[in-house]
Amino acid sequence: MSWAPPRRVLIAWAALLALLGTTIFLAYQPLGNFNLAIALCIAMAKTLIIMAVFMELRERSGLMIAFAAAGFFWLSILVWLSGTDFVTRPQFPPHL
Amino acid sequence: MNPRQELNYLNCEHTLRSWFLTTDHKRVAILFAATITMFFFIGGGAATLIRLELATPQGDLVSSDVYNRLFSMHGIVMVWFFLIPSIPTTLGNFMVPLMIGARDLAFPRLNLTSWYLFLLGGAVTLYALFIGGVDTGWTFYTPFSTMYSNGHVILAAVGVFIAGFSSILTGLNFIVTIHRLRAPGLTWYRLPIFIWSLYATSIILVLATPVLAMTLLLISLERFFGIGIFDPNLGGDPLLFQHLFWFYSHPAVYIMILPGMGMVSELVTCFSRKNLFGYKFVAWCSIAIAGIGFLVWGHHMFVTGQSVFAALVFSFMSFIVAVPSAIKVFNWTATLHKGWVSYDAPMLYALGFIGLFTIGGLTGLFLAALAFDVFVTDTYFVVAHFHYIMVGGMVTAYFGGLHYWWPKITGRMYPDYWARAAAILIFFGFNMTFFPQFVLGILGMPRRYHTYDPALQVWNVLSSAGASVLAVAYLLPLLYLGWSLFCGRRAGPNPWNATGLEWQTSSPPPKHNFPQTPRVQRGPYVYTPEAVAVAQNA
Amino acid sequence: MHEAHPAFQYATLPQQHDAAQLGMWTFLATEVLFFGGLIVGYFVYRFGYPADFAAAGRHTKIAIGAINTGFLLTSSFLVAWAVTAAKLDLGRVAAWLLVLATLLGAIFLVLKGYEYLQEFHERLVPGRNFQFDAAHARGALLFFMFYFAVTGLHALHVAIGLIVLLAIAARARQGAYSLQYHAPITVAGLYWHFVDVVWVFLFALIYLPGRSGE
Repeated sequence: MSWAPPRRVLIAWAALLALLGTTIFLAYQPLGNFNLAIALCIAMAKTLIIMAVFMELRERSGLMIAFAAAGFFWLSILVWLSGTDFVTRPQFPPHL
Repeated sequence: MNPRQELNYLNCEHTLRSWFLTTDHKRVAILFAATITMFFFIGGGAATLIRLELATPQGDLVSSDVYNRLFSMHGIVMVWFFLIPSIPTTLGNFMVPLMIGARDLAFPRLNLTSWYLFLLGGAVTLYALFIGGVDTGWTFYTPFSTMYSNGHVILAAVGVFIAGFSSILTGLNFIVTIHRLRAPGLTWYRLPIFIWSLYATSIILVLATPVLAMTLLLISLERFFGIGIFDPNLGGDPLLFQHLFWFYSHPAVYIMILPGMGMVSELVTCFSRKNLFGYKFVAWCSIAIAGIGFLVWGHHMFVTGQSVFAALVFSFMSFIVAVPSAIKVFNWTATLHKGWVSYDAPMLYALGFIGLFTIGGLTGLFLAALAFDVFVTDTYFVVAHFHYIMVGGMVTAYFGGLHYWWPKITGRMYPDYWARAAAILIFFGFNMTFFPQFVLGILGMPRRYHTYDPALQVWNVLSSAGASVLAVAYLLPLLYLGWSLFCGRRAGPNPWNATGLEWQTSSPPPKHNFPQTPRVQRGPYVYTPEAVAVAQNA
Repeated sequence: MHEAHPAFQYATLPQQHDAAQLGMWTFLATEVLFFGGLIVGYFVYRFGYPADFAAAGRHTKIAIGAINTGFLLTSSFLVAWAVTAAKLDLGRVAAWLLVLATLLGAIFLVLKGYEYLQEFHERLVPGRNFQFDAAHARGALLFFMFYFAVTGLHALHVAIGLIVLLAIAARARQGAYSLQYHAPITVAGLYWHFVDVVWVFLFALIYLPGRSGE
């Protein structure tokens, strides 16, 4: 049945919905500071599945994978380096 | 039509439609060139008024409010509507396909779109500036820009936002083109350095500009809705604006120098008839400058309230970023050494670049040092530093490139004497304008003030006098290059006897660049002793 | 179905397709950094006002958010399926799948609008009628400014995506795409999947803070 969805696409979809359920469930568990980290990790996992399967990066060249990763890498520079300022300020947020 | 003149990209079609709906990268380059030249003179006009005002210590020519709007206009127009597009959209658009043996860029229609976006952004910004402008400086610092300024901040921000998309599309086009449209045999290490530099520039265009777009959007939202994330009254931090703004604007200054550096590599090799010393170093240093340039933005914020730890990190990285630039200067010098140097106009500009960029770059190192920066921040020392690099460096390299490739683009030669005279006058006028500003900075004259201590007048007068020389010097090329379009001697395919694929086709090139796709078997600067001997005897 | 050939600056169709995809990925990188500016702001202020962000997060409508996420993930699935169908010359199947995906995207926007309306009624709109428990008001205001800005921007991207998907669906139905020529549908798919990726992150940052506490 050539009109059926490819298996890998179907499995990816199921995995994404499962991860959605997981992230919601875990959000309600009292895990303190880990809540944010876990939510972000699950979001990253979903992103990797979407990019690898739906966006077919698995079948593309290293160059295209590098292009795909570049935006996220550069964003992490922005977050990290500006973070070094906010995290080491004597007083943040500034109070009037 | 002259029967001797073959069909080329200029004379193949004459209708307005064939120009304004062109997808030929060469015609798009000319459209951009006309536009940015117009902006150069608008920004220059603002500079003229600034220097006129500063000839006397009192604020007697314009009020302080008008003065604020003048330097803001000067900065906005020169940065976003002249320098950032300059080499990439004119010489880059024209030469990239030619230098890699392609028939056009990867996305020709996107190229035309880029020009229309640039026009639209420029129109909005000019409208904002002419109905009163902004008084925030080109840096739009909050909370002044979002809460207190009574200028047309949102309109100006929208204009720049639109122009930013133009930049992004140009960078995107170059990146894909350089990856996928190189001629057979043209490996990365056989590419001219101009291409490496434009590739590095494009990385910055593509990755930094979106953050500027978001920053401008945020200040517009904050100003329009009266809410925002930079307002200390509401718990926000003005420094967040500065981090976001400078994350773009520092790499932006590398957009405003890397193409110039690439240009100099082309000129120095051709006019000393030598292979580039340390080609791979120069190539990778372009990439290094682009990469490390993203890690130094906090050096614009040493005194505005960021943490000392962050300041130290940024200071250290700012020292590191100077290294690849210095490597390039050493390699150009080594290329000149024992070369057969000819002092044509393009070479005069290249030599001027090397000297002026070195001064500008070294003073950048002074500013990277925290203790010294605290002393001279927001003084004319900083103004002199960046004008040495942007004007003494980039604008000089742009003129050099214009003179080098003029015969290729137009099929005409300009008068040699006038070109060299103008180059020398520019060098002289430039130094007279901006060197006194280093002194003024050390003596404590703050920037963005229209009055100053009368004891500083002599340096200001020197600077303003220099500016008048520079103004004349910049007008000269407009005159003789314009003259050459109608009366200049017709140029052959390779008037400089240079290597490079662009010289293997006619001047001006045919519409699709090459009759057949070239095959490349050698590096970009193979100036053999035989070729030198031929040139020497010519 | 006509025989496709590459544009004049390309030597072969695969070269052109590859260039088109590289171009779209480059554009998507710019989008990451565009949204990223807002993400930085979010993280900075979440770091500064952790309790306020948690309190504000609890006021978001997680049921709507979760359903919307499900719709977007499903529409991505349908688009990925459609691309495969197009490559197999099943233009009509692809077209229907794309229309279905568009429908899910449209429902996403309707639910988002409904959500905004509810937030307006609950006085959570900064600059209009914002009112929040005083102990957490500062950070909550920042949270909701971030919320409206980023979801509004995302909704704009969804709307553009819907138009693109419909245009591609029309072409697919005419049999324009095949194994030999499918760059437009692939590239449109990349854009739509990216819009989904952004939402995946936004869901984690908007709807999940503070759920475990009270």
